[in-house]
Amino acid sequence: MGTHDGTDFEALYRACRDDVYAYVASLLRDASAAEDVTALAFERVLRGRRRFDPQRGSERAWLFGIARNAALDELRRRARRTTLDREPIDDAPLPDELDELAERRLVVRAALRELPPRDREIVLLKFIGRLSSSELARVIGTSETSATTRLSRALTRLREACGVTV
Amino acid sequence: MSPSELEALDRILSGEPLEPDELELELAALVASVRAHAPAPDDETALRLDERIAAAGTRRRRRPTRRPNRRWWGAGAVTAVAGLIAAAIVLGGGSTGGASRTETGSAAFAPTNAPSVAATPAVTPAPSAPTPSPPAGPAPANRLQQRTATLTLATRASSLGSVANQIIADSEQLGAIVQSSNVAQQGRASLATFTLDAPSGSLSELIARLSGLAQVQSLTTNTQDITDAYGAATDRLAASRRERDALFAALARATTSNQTQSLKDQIDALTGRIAADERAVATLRSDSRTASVQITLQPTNGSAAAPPHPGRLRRAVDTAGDVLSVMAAAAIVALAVIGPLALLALIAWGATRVGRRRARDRALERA
Repeated sequence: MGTHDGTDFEALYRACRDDVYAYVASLLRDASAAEDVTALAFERVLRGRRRFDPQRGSERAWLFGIARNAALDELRRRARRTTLDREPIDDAPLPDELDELAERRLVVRAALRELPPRDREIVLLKFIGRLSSSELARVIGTSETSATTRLSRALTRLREACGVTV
Repeated sequence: MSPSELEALDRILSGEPLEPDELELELAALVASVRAHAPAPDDETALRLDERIAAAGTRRRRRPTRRPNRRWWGAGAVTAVAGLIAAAIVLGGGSTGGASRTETGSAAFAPTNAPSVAATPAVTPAPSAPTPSPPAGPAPANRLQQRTATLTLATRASSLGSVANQIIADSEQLGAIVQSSNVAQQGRASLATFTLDAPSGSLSELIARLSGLAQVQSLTTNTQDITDAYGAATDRLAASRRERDALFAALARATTSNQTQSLKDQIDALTGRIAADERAVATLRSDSRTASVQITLQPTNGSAAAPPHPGRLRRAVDTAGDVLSVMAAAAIVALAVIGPLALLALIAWGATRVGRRRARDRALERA
């Protein structure tokens, strides 16, 4: 894995691999597809790293934008397919997680699922991608004000759905 | 959510120490729950990802030369096609205005004499004729020729005065006499006319040199053989002289006053006729030695006047100008072809982007 403009691709991969996978898997809810899309996103970064412009945001935000597009394209392809052979992610709690913390996480998980897709996506991009407001705006293709508004609304809904548990 | 909450969220996500604030603690718990809920790749998945990315990196290193982007190939192909179309249009249409301009621009005569002829008809080059015939060379031995030339030149209105001065200078340098000249400079209505008497032997060189001063619009040369007229005039003069000599002899033999007076009257009349014959012979001889040249200098439309000095440099400049003008014409046509195509490509590109974004949004809504 090479370097470009002082940025170590391998370091980026190590730092972001799990987060990208988590974000993509949360969108796709398919472990196999999440693995493919994660690999595809990093391969695209590797191929197109000469086009990366640091003035337009961090490399991490650029990577999440690529991963988002790849995941949504996968969703489009999946929508066109008549049969689904997804490999669902096993998100059932482990037996030793059945404590108060695990309960709280189950509530959050349920609250996330109840969110509209757009709200869920922006929460994932913020919490998992750790993107700034301007980076969020660039990734989802809107203005920074709109991105902030959407994030604020999504967090409010998420907190409301979680109730007092959180 | 207030800006302060968003700032607190950013601090939490960046791992900064938390404030002992209930809101921040709640947000931190929410972030931790969401992140803990997020699927993580298991060891096998992580290993497969590592291998795939490592393999991708290896493939990239084995292929150091970048493959040209297909979009650039497409743009290059469009440009090439447009260039070919432009070249075809320009070259196909070059037989009208372009060719005519080129020909007049190079219509300078070499100062070499053409093969001599006894008499040549008037030569008036058509506007599309590339090289008007140069005037005939010197007369053959024992032949007398009267030569005239009418030359129409064109130059930029702004340089008409300087070209007019150069015409006079070059003419005088070649021994020509400016019988009359009239230069009126009034912009596009400027006009200069000259009447020259030039030595017949240097007429070709004079025409060649003057042709290099400006564009040759037309050239008419006329060569008339006056050998017979000259012979007749000299014969008539000789006969008159012989007749006068005879009259002088008769006068010497006259015995009466009437005879003497009659002979004197005849001699006087004959003397007048001899003088006229001598003038005619002198005129014919002069006509054979000098050529009359009428020059008209008029303004062009201002774009392609010839440079003031003839020669290789001028021809090179003309050729370079022709090449540049053809290239400019080709570029204009290419732009005319590429412009709409580029606009269509831009619209298609934008529509594709918008369409793809909407399709992704729809896919997200269905997720």
